[in-house]
Amino acid sequence: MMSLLTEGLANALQWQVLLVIIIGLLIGISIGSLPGLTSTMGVALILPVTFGMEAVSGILLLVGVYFGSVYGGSLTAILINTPGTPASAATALDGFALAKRGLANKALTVSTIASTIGGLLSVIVLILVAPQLANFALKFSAPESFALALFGLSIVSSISGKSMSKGLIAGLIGLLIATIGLDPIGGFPRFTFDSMDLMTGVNFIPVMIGLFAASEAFHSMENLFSSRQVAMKVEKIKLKWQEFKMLIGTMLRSSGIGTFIGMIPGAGADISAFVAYNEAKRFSKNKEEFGKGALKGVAAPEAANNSVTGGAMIPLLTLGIPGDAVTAVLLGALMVQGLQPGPMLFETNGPIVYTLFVGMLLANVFMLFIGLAGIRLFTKVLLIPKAVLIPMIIVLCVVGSYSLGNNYFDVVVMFVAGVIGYFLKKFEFPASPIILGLILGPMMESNFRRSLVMSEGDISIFFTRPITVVLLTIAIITLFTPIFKAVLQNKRNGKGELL
Amino acid sequence: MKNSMKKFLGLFIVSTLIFVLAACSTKESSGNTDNSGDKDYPSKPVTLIVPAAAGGGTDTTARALVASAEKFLGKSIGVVNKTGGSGSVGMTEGANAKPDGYTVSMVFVELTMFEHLGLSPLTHNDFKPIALINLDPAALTVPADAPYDTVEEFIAYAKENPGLKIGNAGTGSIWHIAAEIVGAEAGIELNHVPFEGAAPAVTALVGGHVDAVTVSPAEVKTQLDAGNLKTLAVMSDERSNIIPDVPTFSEAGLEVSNIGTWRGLTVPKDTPDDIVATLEAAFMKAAEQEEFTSFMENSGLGIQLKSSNEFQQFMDENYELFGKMIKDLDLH
Amino acid sequence: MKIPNIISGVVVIMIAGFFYSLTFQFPETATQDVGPAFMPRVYCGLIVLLGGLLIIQGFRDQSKKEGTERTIGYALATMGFVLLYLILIPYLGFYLSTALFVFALLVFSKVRNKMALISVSLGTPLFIFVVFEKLLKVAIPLGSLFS
Repeated sequence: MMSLLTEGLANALQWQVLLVIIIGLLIGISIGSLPGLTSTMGVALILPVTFGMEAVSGILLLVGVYFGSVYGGSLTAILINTPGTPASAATALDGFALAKRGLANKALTVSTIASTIGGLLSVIVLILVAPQLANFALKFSAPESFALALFGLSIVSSISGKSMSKGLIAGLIGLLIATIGLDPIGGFPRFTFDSMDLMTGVNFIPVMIGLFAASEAFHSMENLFSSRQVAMKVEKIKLKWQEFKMLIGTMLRSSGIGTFIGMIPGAGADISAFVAYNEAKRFSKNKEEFGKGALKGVAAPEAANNSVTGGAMIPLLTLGIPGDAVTAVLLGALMVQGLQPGPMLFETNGPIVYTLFVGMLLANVFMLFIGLAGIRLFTKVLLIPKAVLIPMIIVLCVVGSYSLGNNYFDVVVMFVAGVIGYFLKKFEFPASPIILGLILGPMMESNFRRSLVMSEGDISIFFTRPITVVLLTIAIITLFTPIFKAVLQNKRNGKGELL
Repeated sequence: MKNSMKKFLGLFIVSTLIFVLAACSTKESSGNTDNSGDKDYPSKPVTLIVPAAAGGGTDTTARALVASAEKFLGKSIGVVNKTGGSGSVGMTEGANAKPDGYTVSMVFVELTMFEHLGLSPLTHNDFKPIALINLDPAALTVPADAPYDTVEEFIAYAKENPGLKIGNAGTGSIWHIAAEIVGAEAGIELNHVPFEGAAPAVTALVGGHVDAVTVSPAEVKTQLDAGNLKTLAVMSDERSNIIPDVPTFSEAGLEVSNIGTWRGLTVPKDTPDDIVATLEAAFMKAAEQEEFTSFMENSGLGIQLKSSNEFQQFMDENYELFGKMIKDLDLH
Repeated sequence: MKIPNIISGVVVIMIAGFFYSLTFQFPETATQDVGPAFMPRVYCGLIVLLGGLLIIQGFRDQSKKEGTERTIGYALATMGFVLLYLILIPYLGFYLSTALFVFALLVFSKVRNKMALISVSLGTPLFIFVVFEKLLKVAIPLGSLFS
C-alpha cells in the first residue's frame, strides 16, 4: 500500500490537479455558504463539467466541491444564523451565539480547524480500514436505521434550551410536519389537503431557511427600532493554544461519530452534526455553556459533518453503494469516467484510487489554508449595517429556497416557516428541534414500518438484533437523562415545574 | 457606524462594478425576446424542464443529451430541474408552458401512471411527444450466492418458502408493479418491501436484508460486475444490451408483460407540428452521437429511440396497461 | 401565572387535535405494518400531553413578568413587506420586485443615504443575476409582465 500511496502522491502533486482541487473548494465553499444550495446540488451542478475531463481531475474537482460545501455551510451559520446547508444547522446554535458576543473570528477559526481535522481523519480511516468497515455498514438494515434515527431524535432533550417541554413539543411538531405527503410504506397521501405541492411532503430546507434566517431577519428588524439595539462587533481575539487543546478531545470524538454515521446508508452530515453536538455536551463539564456560545458546540458539529465526507466514501468506493444523495452523484461521475466502484476498483485501478485518496487529503489541507486566510474577509459581513444586511438576507432566503427545485411553493414554505419561527421565538420555543424532527422523522417512521413489513408484523425484530438493541438503549438513556435531571433540579429548587 | 457604512459602501460599489463587468463578459445575452417567428425556429435558447433532482439518473441523461443536441438545434438548451410530486410538478409546468417549442419537458414512465394512482390528473395526452430516448426493463436480481440460478428455480423455491422479501422503490412505483406482476404470473406469495427509491433497495439486497429486487439493470450493474448479485431475467421482449447474457422472462418460461422505466421528450400539446419535427430531428440525431451513447453505456442505461408517432403509440399502450394493472393490483 | 405558556399550550393542543382528527380518513392497511395513521397519532398524543403540562406550568409559574418593549409592529410590518414582495414576483418578475422590495425596506428602516439606497437596491438583484442565473444557471422567474 505504501508504494501505491507514494505513486498516488506523485500523481496528485501536479499543478493541474492541485489547481482543480482549489477551484473545487472555492466553488464548494461559495455554494455551501449560500442558503438553499446544498452539497448535492453543488456537486450535481459541476458534474457535467467533469465529463470532458480526465478521470482524476474530474473526480477531484467534485471532491473539492463536496468537501468545500460541507465546510462553507458553517460560515453563514456562524455569521448570520443562516445555515448554508442542513449539515450546519447544529453549528448555528453556538456559532451564532459566539458571533453575537463579538467572537466571530474565534468561532470561524474553530470551525475551520475542526472541519479540517474531521475531514482528514475520515479520509485516513477510509484509506486504512475501508473494506472492513464497509462490511459492517452493510449490516445496517431497517431496524438498525430505525434505532439510529431514534437515537438522533433522542438528543432533542439536549438542544431544548430553557424549557424541556417546549423543546419536546417543537421536536414533535417537526415530526408531525414530516408526516405530510405520501406515506413512505403504503403510498397514501397524508395531510396533503389535495395540494399537488404537498404530495411529496414539506421540503425541510426551506423550512430551515425560514426558521433560522427569515425569522432572525424579522427579529433584527424589530431590534433596529428598539432601544436595546446592539451593534455587532468583531473582536480581534484569536484562538488561544490553551483553548485549542481543550477542543482536541471533542474533535477526535466527533470525527469518529461523523465517519461512522457517514458510512451508514441513509444517514448523513446533518444527523452526525447533531449527534456530535449532543455527545460534546454529554462529555463537557460546563453543560450550561452550550447554546450560549461554547467553542465545543462549534467544534463538534463541524468536525462531525466534515468527517462524514470520508465516511460516505467508504461504502461508495469499496462496495459501489452510495449512502446518500451526494455519493449517488459521485457514483455517476465515477461510472461516466469508466471507473466501476466496488471491490475490483482497488485491483484494476489501484493507482487512480490512491491518487484520489491523496487528493482528498490535500483537499482538506487546502481547506484549512483557504478557511484561515478567508476569515478576515468573511467577518466583513458583520460590518455591514443591519439595515442594509436584513433586506439582502431576506432576498437570499427567497432565491435560495427557489433555486432548490425551481418551485415557487418552496418560497412560500420558507416565508410561512419564517413567520412561525418568529412567533416561536417570542413564545420561547427553540427552533432546532423542529429541524431535527423534520430530518429524522421520515427516516425513523419508514424504517420502523419497513422493519415490521420485513418481519411480517413481529416486533421482536427490534429486540433480537444486537446493533439495534445497543442503539435503542443509548437512545432511551440520552432522551431521559436530561429530563430526569431537569425534574430533580426543579424539585430541589422548590419550583413546581415538572419539566 | 458612519465610518463602517462608508467603508461598506465603497466595498459594495467596487464589487458591484466587478459583477457588472463579469456579467457583460459572459458571452451571450439572453435578452432576445423575439417570439414571433415560427419559421426561423429556434431563434432563442430552449429550456428543458427535468422534473427530477439534479444529479439523478434522469437529470444526467438529460444533461448528456442536451450537450450533444445543442449543435443540431443551433441554439443553447438550458436544463431546469423542477422537483416535487414524483415528477408531476415539473411535468405539469411543462404541459402548461407556452406551446412555442421553447419549453421542452423530459417525461418518464410515471406520466402514464399518475392518473391511475390518483396522484395527479396529468396524462401523456397533455403533451405532444418528440422522441423516446431511453428504456430500461425491470430485471429480477438476487444475491450471487442465492440457491437458485434461473427463474424456474426461483419460482420453485418461492413456492416452498412463501413470503420471500422483494425490495421495491416505493409502493406504486414502477418496480413495485413489476414485482407484483412476477408474483401474480408465477403464482407465488411475495413480501413486498418498499424503499425510498431503487438504490436503497439494492443496498438492502447486497446486505442480505431482502431476497430479491426487480429494478433496472442500470441500478444493479455495479453490483453485478462486483459479483455480489446476479440477474435471473429481464422483463422485455429482447435481451438488455447492458447484460446480454441474461435471458428474458419468456425465454425463461414465464410470460409476463414488458415492464420498465423510460425517459422521453415532449412539448405542450398545442405545439405546431413543424416545430415538433425540428426538435425530433435534432434530439434523435443527438442520441446517436458517440459521446451520448458512450455516456449511456458507462452509466448502464439502455438507449431506445422512438420517433414522435411511435412514442405516442408507446405511451398509449403504457397508459392502458398500467390502468388495468393498478386496478387489478388494487394499488390506488 | 405565565400567560404565553398557557396560550402556546392551547394552540399546540388545538393543532394536534386537528391533525389527529384528520387521521381518521386514513385507510387501515391490510399489511403487517402499523398503517399510515399510527405515527401521526403518536405524535399528536404526545403533543397534547406536553401541551397540557405547559398550561399547568403556566398557571403555577410565579416568576415576575419582564417588561417587553412594544416593537412587534415593526416585525409584522416587515412580514407584510415580504408578503407583498412574494405576491409581486410572479407579475413583475424577480429582479424588479427585488429592487422595489429592498428599496422599500431600506426606506422603512430609515436609511436616508441616497448612495446606499440606490446601490443596495440595484446591487442586490444584480448580485443574484450574476451568481444564481449566470454562474449557477438557476432559472429566475421573469414575471408574467415580461414574458
